[in-house]
Amino acid sequence: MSITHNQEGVFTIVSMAGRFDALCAREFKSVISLLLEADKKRIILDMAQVNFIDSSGMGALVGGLRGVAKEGGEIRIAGLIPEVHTIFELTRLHRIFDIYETTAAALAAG
Amino acid sequence: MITVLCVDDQKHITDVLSRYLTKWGYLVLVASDGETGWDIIQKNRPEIVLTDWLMPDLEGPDLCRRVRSAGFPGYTYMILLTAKSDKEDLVLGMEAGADDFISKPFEIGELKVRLNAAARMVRLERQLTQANSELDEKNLALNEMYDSVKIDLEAAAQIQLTLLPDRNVSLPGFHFDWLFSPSTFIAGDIFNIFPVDSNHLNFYLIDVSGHGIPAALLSTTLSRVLSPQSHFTINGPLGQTYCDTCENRQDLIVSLNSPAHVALALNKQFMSDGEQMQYFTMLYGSVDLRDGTTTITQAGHPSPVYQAPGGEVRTIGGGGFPIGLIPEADFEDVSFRFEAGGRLYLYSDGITECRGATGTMFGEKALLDVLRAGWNQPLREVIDRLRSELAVHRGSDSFDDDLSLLAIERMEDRI
Amino acid sequence: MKARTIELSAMLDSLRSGALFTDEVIGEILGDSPPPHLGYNIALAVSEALTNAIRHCKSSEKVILGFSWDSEHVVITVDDQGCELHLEDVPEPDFEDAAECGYGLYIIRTLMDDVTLENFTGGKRLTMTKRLIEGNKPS
Repeated sequence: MSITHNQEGVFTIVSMAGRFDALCAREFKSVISLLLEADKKRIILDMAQVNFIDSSGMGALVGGLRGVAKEGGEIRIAGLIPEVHTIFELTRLHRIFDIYETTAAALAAG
Repeated sequence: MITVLCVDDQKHITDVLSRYLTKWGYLVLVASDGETGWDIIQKNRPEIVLTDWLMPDLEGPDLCRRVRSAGFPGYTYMILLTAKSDKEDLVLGMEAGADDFISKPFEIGELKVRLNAAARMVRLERQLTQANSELDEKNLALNEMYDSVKIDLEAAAQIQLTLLPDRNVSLPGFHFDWLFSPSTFIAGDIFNIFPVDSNHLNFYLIDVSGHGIPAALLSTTLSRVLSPQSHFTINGPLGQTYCDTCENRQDLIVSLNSPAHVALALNKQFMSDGEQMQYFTMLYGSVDLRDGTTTITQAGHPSPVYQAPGGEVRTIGGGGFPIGLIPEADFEDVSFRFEAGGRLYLYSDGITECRGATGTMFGEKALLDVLRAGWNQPLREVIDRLRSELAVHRGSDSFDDDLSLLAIERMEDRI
Repeated sequence: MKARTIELSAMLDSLRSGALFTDEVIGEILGDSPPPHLGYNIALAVSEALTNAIRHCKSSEKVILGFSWDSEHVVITVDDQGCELHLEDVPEPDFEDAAECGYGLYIIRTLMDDVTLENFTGGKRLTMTKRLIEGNKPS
């Protein structure tokens, strides 16, 4: 799992790659809190390179979303591969996230 | 002395029993009814109880039942005195927990024999209980000893970890990371990387023969002997000579620029004395930070792997003698250029010789594959991947031999 | 019938080795042209089961992941030395509240065809069975 981020206008694009499980959940949460400390509250998660996610990864996403929402920010999710999207539906968590096909679409949604 | 309780509502019976039993050397207690008998049993815990079957308040079999369900620590041998001789009655008495029966009116000879049998049982049971409790005590002592040894070993493991280079320390122009996995708590493997002056970075990886405490003692000593703090300059830079600060300064005079001389000096100082066949393999190297010229000496250790920028891997060097085996052994320096963006991996044979379930070794090829594939990954990722590959190959993440790997990367932006 | 096992320390770090092992075994089971999602679903169920086992054990304890399979079924076992558990005591996830945890067993039950849990003295075993041919349970 690797997590990098860069700024694109008002949005911070957080790019994740690899396997997103309990081992990486903590790292993800610390990246989100660092962004919030830097007052970067509009976040796009580019998950195109995430080839696996389990419920611990999903839990970290929900925790991240809650933290960001509390600060009045937002998280948009982009680029889910079909398998990963299935787990969003299985856990019914697709209902609480703004999910876009691509990072470009997430950016364009204003 | 064995205590016998006699319970009977007829005084003449208890009187007779009491007289004979005392004569035969038993300590005798008497109760005139079942309830009194039960009180005495709980208070005095007699080993043998002789009780009448038919009594007004509490009958013999009921007393047996109470004793059995009380679960006293020692065994209570129950004998029923009875005029009954029906098979069914006997079964009833046995079911209640009686060990034996004496029929009334009783014959003194029979009484003596039955009591002897009871006393034999009681003694056997006592010996067994004592033996068990001694065994329990011994087990307890062993467990305590094991726990204290374990705590000591865990503490030793922590100390050993402090000898390894700190991952958070940055070296000029270089990254490094490592894998260290002792087969027991402490390892015979040790390594370090450290600057010796503004132009040179030295590194080594040592694998002491065997593992566990004896190997760890030597590896710890070697770590001290080779650590940068224990050397000081005698001459000027280049051509500098370093000397150990310990008592015998002459023992280890190491010319900095030649790893082969380090090996030579160690071979002299750590020659096995014949009884203790303890030797070690080593890779020792030095990088000149100005142009990347790297010199290594290989003392019986697996060849290090150099990865050129772009990912291609090759092994460097070709063998040499282990240190501490052959007094007249000589060691060679091999040089190569450590390019910006290149990586050097030093490892112990615990990695390549890690055996899987079917006995096959992990092998150099599998190691090279992991290193090659990890080319554009951070060192940490490559090492995590390697550890996982080894666990999968072995079918377990605990290993027979110490595993260690030191990964050194020369950063792109320097020079 | 073929079988493979790996013994892992009960630490989150072991998820890495567990995943690599699982991918390797799934490759061996499903071959070159696996049905869509099947390998992923098995890997997901294993990840959930391993994470649960590791979370409920001391780090000095071991978790053993085992696969056995033939052409029709794969049976996956996860043995741990953690405390007793009964499947019927595990609540359904709180979907309404978008809970952050508690989905593991639900996911396993949804993706696998049969799930059982046996308690022993000193540990327990989760057994998950998945059919490899026709008639996968719809998720």
